[in-house]
Amino acid sequence: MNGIPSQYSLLGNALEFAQFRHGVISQNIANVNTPGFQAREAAFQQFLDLAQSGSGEIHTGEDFEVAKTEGLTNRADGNNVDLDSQYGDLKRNALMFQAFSQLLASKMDTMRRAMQG
Amino acid sequence: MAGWGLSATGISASGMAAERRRMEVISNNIANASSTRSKDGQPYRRQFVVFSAEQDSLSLNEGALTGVKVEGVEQDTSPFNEVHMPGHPDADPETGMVKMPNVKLPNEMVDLITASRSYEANMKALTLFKEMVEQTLTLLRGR
Repeated sequence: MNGIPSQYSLLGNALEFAQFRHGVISQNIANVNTPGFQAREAAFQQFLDLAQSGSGEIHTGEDFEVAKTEGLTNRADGNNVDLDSQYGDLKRNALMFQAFSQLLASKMDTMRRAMQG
Repeated sequence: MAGWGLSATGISASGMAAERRRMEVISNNIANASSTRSKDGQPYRRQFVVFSAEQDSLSLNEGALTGVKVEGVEQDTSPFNEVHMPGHPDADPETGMVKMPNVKLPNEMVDLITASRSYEANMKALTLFKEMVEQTLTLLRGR
């Protein structure tokens, strides 16, 4: 698919990925006091590969992958969630979501204007 | 949405519920910091909550986002403090020592602050999610 419709679905996928990532980070924050819990992150690269593979259509949910975050130091209780970095990620992710959302809104606006003539 | 487990709101809510439970237990410890009698005739024993991540055998990419779960409230088995108070009704008649609960107030206060900050963090995550949803809803409004 070319043109505006494919951009709709691409942006929609990006929004869905941002929402999924929000869930993963929320999970880390909810478990900040759970002994032995290891922080995880949504694999963005893998999402990017899927998006660039050209099919344009991603059946989200099953396709997103979660991996343990590398390079963190464990606390005494075996937990390695760093609240500050998680919160930073959360905020950045929300901004990404906002950006995608506004892009989508402007695309729709363009379309609406074209239809009105 | 197979394998997604709870939604973002559910995850944050489970975190908030767990931290709230922890604060209740800590408050109970503080309130009973000098209760020398309990049901079993012993002084009050300090309690603490046990959290678990409800992950399926720590394996990944079931990817299950299931929030946090309060596994239960357990008793602290560390020894009781002893204070010399010969006139106390619960004092040992020979030594005059009274067994006091094994609650340490400074530790409880620190735990309380941790719980309260973690609660806030979950709250923030929830607020951000709400903003994201609102952002999406403005798409429907048209400009």
